[in-house]
Amino acid sequence: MNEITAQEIHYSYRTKYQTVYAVKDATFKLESGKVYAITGESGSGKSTLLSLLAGLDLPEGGELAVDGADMRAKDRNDYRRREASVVYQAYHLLPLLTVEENVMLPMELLGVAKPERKGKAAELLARVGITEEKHKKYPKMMSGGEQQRVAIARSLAAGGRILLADEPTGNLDSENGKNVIDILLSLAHDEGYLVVIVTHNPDIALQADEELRMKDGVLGRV
Amino acid sequence: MFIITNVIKNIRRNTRKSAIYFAVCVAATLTLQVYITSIDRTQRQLEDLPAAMPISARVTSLDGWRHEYLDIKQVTVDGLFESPFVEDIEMTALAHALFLMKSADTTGLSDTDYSFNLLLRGARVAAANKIELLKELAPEGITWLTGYGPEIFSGNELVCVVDEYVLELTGYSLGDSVRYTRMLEDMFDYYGEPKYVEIGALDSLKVVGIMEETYDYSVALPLETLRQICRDFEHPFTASTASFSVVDTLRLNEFKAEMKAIELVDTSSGEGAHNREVRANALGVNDATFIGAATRLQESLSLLRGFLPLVAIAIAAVGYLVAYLAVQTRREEYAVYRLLGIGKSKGFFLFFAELAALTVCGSLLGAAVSVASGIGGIRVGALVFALFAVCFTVGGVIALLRLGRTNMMTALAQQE
Repeated sequence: MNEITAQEIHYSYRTKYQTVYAVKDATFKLESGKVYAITGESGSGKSTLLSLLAGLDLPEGGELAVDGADMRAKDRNDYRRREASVVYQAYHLLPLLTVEENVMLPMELLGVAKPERKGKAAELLARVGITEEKHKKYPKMMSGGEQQRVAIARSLAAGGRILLADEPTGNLDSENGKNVIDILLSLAHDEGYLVVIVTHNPDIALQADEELRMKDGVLGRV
Repeated sequence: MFIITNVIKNIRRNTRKSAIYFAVCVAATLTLQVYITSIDRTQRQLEDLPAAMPISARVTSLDGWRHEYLDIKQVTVDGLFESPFVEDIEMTALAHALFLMKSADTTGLSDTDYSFNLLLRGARVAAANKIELLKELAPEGITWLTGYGPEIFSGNELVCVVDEYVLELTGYSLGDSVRYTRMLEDMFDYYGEPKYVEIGALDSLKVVGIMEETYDYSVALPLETLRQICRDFEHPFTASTASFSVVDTLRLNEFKAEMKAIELVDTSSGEGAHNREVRANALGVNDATFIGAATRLQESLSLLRGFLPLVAIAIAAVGYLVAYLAVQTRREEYAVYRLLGIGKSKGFFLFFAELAALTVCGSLLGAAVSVASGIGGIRVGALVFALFAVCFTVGGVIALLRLGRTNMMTALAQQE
């Protein structure tokens, strides 16, 4: 059972000309087994909020906790290694690693033995619909939809139960987009993952269990 | 383990970049080897210069023209023999001797009565520490007493070689010890007239050789024998000629200062022209060629060494540039590693180990190639390898520290 709680968190960053208040006093609670959609205009602070949930940075104020543990007190590298993983619009697969090696990488970082991680990678790739003959291919040799599914398989490899997705269908056609969303919905509803999707797409937002809308850094429930 | 396996994998996966980086390391090491070898060779040429270009010196008159019939003071003579800068001294001295006739009956005569009674025969004496220094004396023209030869001149025995005319006059023969010898220092006064200063009288100066008549002297003594006689009678010894080789010529200034301290005037400074001391002597050193060569080598060496810090900075700059170019296209890769939970320091080390492995292998190969092709020795090769590896790694570390400042949120949010 995973739970993320935020209490009046805020975050700002400086550009060359101004200070941008990306997240303003956001308060929310996210539970496992559900899909949350964070929607909003470009620059409204959605991706920044997702990065805070991924532990890539810390909120400047307020309290962000995972299963009751304050993010400030956590080893955030270990959090990303074991508990939460992120899928991006640009896939971010390592281009010089094969599909299989990309999926095995998080397990390698956890010290899982090679035969075991090879077996688990095959299992995860099968689950997201990547056939075995493509395991030895390099990411650039695959379609966008396939790359995104490999990215999802990689994010599941370490065994974390929090899955964060930043515009996961942004580069995909509608069919591939639908496949990816189906996988994410299934992970939450069938296996109890906590899934957060940042999206512009209202159709995806409609399929989510809950939609959180951001506007100028302020988060509101729809 | 993860880092080691990934270093090997990443080098293989980034074949082209790794090859370029490796080639730069090899080329830069070779260039550095040529540079350091130049310094090393110049240094060795400078060290070998004294052997290749020996310096000799001789004592002269103040004007530098005369180097015979000098009046070289004892302080100078002793100083030359004691100096660590001086070796192979060749020295002569002149004196006068009065030999008692062999058959003379000296019963009841006082010292001063000898000459009035014509019991003494005078003879010019030349002393030297090598027989070749005695002009007009042909070694093959000497009849030696068995067991004696030209080597007596390098010793200090109470022996002498006397010409046949003096022997005939005094009645002595080969192997005799002269019963009574009065030694006088052979000097000239201010007007060039001979004047004799008594050194002392001694017994048993053994005649060990008979020489043919010469114009300048009738008796030849080992130099050290005459010095010892002077010491025994507490009389100052003066030499007539002196020449020698200079040792440790790279410290010429110290040598000249020491020569000045033993009262040899440095004529090159113009000091001789103003010196009014009658007995003063100067030092003639044939060091012009040596100084010219040594100065050129020292200038080259200091120029090469002066540029060494700049070369080190240049290597570090190349290291930085190559490392920066090698990793800047891998910012996304770095961000992905970080996203997957690799810490900042481990992420840094992952890339650093890759560059360090290439740097070490590249510079080792470069040093090995240069040593094998005779550009420099193993010692220089090892020095170059170490210098290059350090400088290049410093540049690489700076580039990687910049990589470590990558904003992950920005790098990961970028769309393809």
